[in-house]
Amino acid sequence: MKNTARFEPGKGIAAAIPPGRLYGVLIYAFLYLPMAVLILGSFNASKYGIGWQGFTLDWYESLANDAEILTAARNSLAVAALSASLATVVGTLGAVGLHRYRFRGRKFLMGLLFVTLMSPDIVMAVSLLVLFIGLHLELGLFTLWLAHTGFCLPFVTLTVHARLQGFDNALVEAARDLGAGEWTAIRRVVLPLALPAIAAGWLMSFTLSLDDAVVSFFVTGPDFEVLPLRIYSMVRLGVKPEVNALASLLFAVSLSFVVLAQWLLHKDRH
Amino acid sequence: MTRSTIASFRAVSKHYGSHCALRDFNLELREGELLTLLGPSGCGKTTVLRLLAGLEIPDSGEIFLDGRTLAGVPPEARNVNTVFQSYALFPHLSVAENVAFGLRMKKLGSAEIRARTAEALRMVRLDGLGGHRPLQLSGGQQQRVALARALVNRPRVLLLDECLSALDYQLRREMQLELKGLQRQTGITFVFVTHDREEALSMSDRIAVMRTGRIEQLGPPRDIYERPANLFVAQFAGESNVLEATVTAITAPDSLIVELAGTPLTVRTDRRFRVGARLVLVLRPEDLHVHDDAAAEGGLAGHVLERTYRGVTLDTVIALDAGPRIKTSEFFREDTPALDHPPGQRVRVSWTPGWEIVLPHEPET
Ligand SMILES: Nc1ncnc2c1ncn2[C@@H]1O[C@H](COP(=O)(O)OP(=O)(O)O)[C@@H](O)[C@H]1O
Ligand SMILES: [Mg+2]
Repeated sequence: MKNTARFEPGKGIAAAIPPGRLYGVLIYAFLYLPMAVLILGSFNASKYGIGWQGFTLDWYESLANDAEILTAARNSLAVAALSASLATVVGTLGAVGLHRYRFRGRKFLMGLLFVTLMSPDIVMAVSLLVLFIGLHLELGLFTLWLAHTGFCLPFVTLTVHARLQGFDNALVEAARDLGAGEWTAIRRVVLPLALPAIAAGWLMSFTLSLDDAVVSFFVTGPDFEVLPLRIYSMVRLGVKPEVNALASLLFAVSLSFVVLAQWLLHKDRH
Repeated sequence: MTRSTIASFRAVSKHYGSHCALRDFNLELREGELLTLLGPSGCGKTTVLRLLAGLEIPDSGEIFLDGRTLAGVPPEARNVNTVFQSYALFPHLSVAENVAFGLRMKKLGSAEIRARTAEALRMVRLDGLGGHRPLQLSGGQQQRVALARALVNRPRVLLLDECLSALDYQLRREMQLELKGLQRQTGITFVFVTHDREEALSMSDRIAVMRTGRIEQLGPPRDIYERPANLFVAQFAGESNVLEATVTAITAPDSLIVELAGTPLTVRTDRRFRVGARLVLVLRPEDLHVHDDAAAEGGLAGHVLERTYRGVTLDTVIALDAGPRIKTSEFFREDTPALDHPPGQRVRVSWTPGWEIVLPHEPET
């Protein structure tokens, strides 16, 4: 029996698709349809999103002219870049340390990384807020930077650590044997080999920071708004097409960074 | 010719956790020699190299290089280089950059680095491949890069850890010759690790046969093969027929009569035995001759079980009337009809008197 999935007029789509495949199609539709609608809506000339009324870039244009949104975007990009960079430096050093040295409590530290990875955002948000208030830190860019670095850190550390686990430990020994000191061996051999994972860690951290709403909501102050929070205050007054445009842009950035990160991590596995 | 000592291990012990890898280990390396560490997997060969390279630290005892202790000296400060078993080539660097790595670390001028790198690549016959990545090369070529990367530093001692075992038979034979040639040409002391006895016998100036963290015997290949210190060395150094016998009479200081399952035999040995003592005879298959039973006297009687034509030699498995089976390996010549003994035929096995290896009987180990 060939072509069971062929559409036959009069029988309906459902009848032409085997149940297993239908199930898969439904799941993907559930996941991606809202996003597709959102992206389509961002190009739809209709102000209320009912029916297609022609292609337009108006909503993107009005975003570009909205001073509040531009400020929030700049803030978000700054926080994401700063947090991703700090998390990458600290996380990479942490991964090298966890990989190179055998010390008491090493397993425990690895376990803690998974705990922070899995712990609910809200718990982290509240505890950081309590910490920052206790330290009398002014809520704003600095506290956002610290908080975002915190939740990005385990991603970087685990990604880089996994990469380090994957290569021959004799490489470092060979470098030492050829006259490289401990630090030189790390700089000349370990870091170059880990570079794809380090870059992937940075990209993933950047998107995590860019998308975060929960932690940011708690740890930022009234004078420093980031994009997800801006979107939140916009949608409280109803979903405007500009929101579609803004969310589509965020989605595009996140998607391309994640794809790039995955490509970096898998490109040398033939 | 006695050469001066270049490096030595004095009473060195090394444990991994509770597992003892080396115990009370002593070894003197001589200037310019090729010394092979030969032994079964897990006997501690790699550990010896790693201790000398500084990649492991001894629990006790001391290691010296050029008369100075290596205690507290990190690997990068030791004038010793290693060819790793896995080659450990840097995948992110080109072949030339791999070879130049050690020279860069020494902060030599770029002209000298370029010249010495090119010379090293020429020495291992890889000139022209300097721009490739290591993973683009074949196993044999990678092996040469690893060799060049170590040799280019002109170390006092070069350590080679089973570096030929990943290569196929033909290539391995070629590389053995090449290594030996490089060693002679450079005059550098090589410590070569292998578990392949033919490799050890054909390449070494001296062989240290190791078992469970100790040296069982240290000497030139001929001594190891012809005058093994014990049964372990005898069996590890070459194919062996091991026969148990009992001393029945002492006829001269170096001559005994032993009884092997009812057959009296005269054997020669420098070792001292009492009458009634048990001993073992080790007979190398290539030392044995097979004769027709009717035409010969003396030796050991038995019948042919199996014949295997192997080109250069004709191998025969013989069941002795005394019980054990022995294997012989005779050089094959077409015009020697006596070599042709079909299975089932009664034969006698003999050897040139004095070529038997006589060892004290050891309890099972
Ligand atoms: N890092 C290690 N941790 C624990 N045991 C080890 C380690 N390295 C080697 N050993 C053990 O020490 C013994 C000697 O090892 P090694 O020197 O590598 O032997 P060889 O090179 O002769 O095969 C082996 O039994 C091995 O299992
Ligand atoms: Mg080994």
